[in-house]
Parts: sequence; structure tokens; C-alpha cells
Amino acid sequence: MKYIKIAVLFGLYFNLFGCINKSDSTKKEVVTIDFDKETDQEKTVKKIFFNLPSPIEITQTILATKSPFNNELPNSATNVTNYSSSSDLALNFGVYGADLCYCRVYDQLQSSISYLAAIRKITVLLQIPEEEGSETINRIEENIENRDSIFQIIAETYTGADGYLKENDRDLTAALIIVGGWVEGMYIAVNLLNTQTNQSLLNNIAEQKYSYENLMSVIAEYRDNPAIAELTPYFESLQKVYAQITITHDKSVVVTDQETKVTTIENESQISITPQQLKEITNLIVEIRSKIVS
Amino acid sequence: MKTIRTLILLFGFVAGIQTIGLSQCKTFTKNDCKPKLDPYIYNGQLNSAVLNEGDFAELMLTFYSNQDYRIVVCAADELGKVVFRLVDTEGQVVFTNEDHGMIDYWDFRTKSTQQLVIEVSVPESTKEGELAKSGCVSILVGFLDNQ
Repeated sequence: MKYIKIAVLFGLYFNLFGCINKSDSTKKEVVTIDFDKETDQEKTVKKIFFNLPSPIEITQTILATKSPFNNELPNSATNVTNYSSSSDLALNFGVYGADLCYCRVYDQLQSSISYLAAIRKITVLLQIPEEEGSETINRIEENIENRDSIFQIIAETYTGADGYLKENDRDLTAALIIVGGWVEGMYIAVNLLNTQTNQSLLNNIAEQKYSYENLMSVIAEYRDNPAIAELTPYFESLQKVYAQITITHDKSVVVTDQETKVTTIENESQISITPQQLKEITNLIVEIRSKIVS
Repeated sequence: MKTIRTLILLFGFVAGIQTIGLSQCKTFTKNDCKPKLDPYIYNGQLNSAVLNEGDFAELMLTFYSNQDYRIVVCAADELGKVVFRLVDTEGQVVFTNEDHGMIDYWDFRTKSTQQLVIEVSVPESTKEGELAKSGCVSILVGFLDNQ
């Protein structure tokens, strides 16, 4: 049986697509050199999409902690006029996506509409076609009272933009959106933890160790991008802190409740994160987030 | 020079096919797969690829504690019944649809946050002389709003 990972299939698509976009004068070099480079690059990007939680999932886990809403945490929607480069726009698309989800799960309707407008503006500036971005956002306004519909539509917006960007060889932009969303979700989480003792939220921050290894793969691949280059030292410091955090699991046991029919993978985890490690993560996230939104 | 031109034309042709394949996959996922998540909320992550019969694919996902999840493994009809398994990081199989009538989804929750690998196997054709079939396979994750 052939053994082919999905990532390699996507890598094939992108390396082929990358080759035909190069200039004529370097055709031979492009075919022989860029092939492997692009394969590795796309392989990494696919991996991050598999492992980084979407803003919807991050805010969902924050809500589960029952922390009160803090309207000073999200990036102000009026800041959208400060961003002009495609990298800044993409990063803040992710930031506003996380902010929108955060506001929506707390039923902050007016704020949600402001973030929708900011996202719409960025979608246009990033030249993502109407049917992939803004058109979907119109539907959010029409369904603003229904939380489930909003989650579905936000998910479609992300998927539509992500799919469009990848089909059009703009995987860097897609990756920046995800990175921005991850940083903003973390920013909200570490700040909520500053004001309370919440073991669930602390665990959630530690468990981002899973995402972080993949995030660093993307950071490494795109370090030539000026926006990524500026953030890289902070991400590398964050990597060192996460390397010290340990998470272990007991053996998995699958149990189905005969009454509710709910199937649960029962296993306990042991998470080890020190107050000093949390402090370092908090400081680094605050610095990274400041670089992105300012 | 002629060889280079031929190579580029060939790459362009294959890239075109791949582009069409990815685009069709997106449509297939939207129309045929996403409805199977209902009533779970789609997490927005698009994991799809064109696979051939006999292919084996895997990907790793993170699942958060005490969330209710549905995984849908959705394959184009021409590929037949696709086998999927969930394996924990210790290599233990926690679910396989072979034990559940080849169902194309699984609902579950995890007590602790953990990473699970989803393995997908596309069956090989038993008919000799047939062209190898290929089609889109999408893996979607949904969760319930527990509030």
C-alpha cells in the first residue's frame, strides 16, 4: 500500500504552482531548486492548519472558564486604519477574528458589528473577493442575534478566505492570519489569568504547547518576511519557555454512557507549568501582540 | 531550451489539474460534507485533498478538554467506503469505523486536552485492469456550543 501524507499532496500542488510563476530567465534553476524548498514550505503550512486552533475554538475554551468579559482586551476596531502593508493587514485579520469571537461569545453585539466592519475593510484591502469574504460578513449582520449562526458564518469566512488564498498561491497571507488569531487568543487568555486564579485557563495556556511547535515551523519558514522577522526573536524566546513545560497523559480508555450515549476518551493529564514560566509567557505574548497591533 | 520549455508546459498542465482538483474539493466539502456536521459547529479548518485508491493519509489534531466533538471523514463516492481510525500519541487506537459499520463520523468528548492522529485509508480496487480511481477526501471537525 502506498503511504502518502496529505501534507505531501498539498506540497506537490504548491511546488508545481510555484515553479510556473518564476521568471523565464531562471526557469531551469526554478525547476531544480525551488521544487524541494516549496514542498517543505507547504508541508509545514498544512501542518499548522491542522494543529493551530481557530479563534473560534480558543474563545470557546476561554468562555468555558466563565471569566467576565473585559472590553479593554480586544484591539480597537478603529485601529484598522493604521494598517497598510499586506502583512500587517493579514496579522490583524487574525487578531480581529479572535476579537470578534471573544465579543460574540459574550453577546457583545455592538462590538461584534464594529469588528465585522474592520474585517470587511481588511478583506477588501487584501483583495479577497466579495464571495469569499465580505459577502459572508453581510450574513453575519443579518444573523447577529443567533450565536450558532454567527459561529458557522465566521467559520465559513475563515475557510473561504483560507481556501481562496491557498488556491491563489498566497499561503503566506493565510499563515499570517492564523498566527494573528493565535496571538490574540493567547493575549486574551493570559490577561484574564492576571486577574484571577483559574486552573482551567492556566492549563489551556500550557496546552498551547501543542500548537506552538507547529507555529515555530511556520515562523522559521517565513523568517524572510519583514513582519515575521521582527517577531521571530520573541517567538524564539517563547519557544524556550514552552520547551520547559511538560504534559503527560495516562492510558486512554474509551467509555460510552449507556443513558446519554456520549462517548468519552477518559484519561487524565498532568501539566507542569511554574508561575515564572507563566509570567515569561505573559510578558512575551504582550510584547508580540503589541508589535502586531501597534 | 526545448527540454526546459517542455518541462514548464508539463508542470503548468499538472498544476492546472491540481488547481481544478483543489477547487472541486472545496465545492465537494461545502456541499456534501459540511451538512454532516450538523448540529455541531464547524471549527473553520479546511482539511481536504485528492487521494487515490490505496492511499493512506494521516493528520494530527488537538482536541480540548470537556468539549463535545464530531469528526466527519467524507470521501467522494468513487472511492468507496473509506476506513478511518483515531490513534492517541501512544499509538493506541481509540476508534475505528471498521467496528461501527464503516460510519463516516464519530461523536465524542475528551476528558483532557490531547492530540489525536486521524488515519484514513482508501480501499484498493479488487477489479483487475481498471484505471486507478481518485477523489476528494475531507476531514472536518465540529464542536457543540456548551453554554
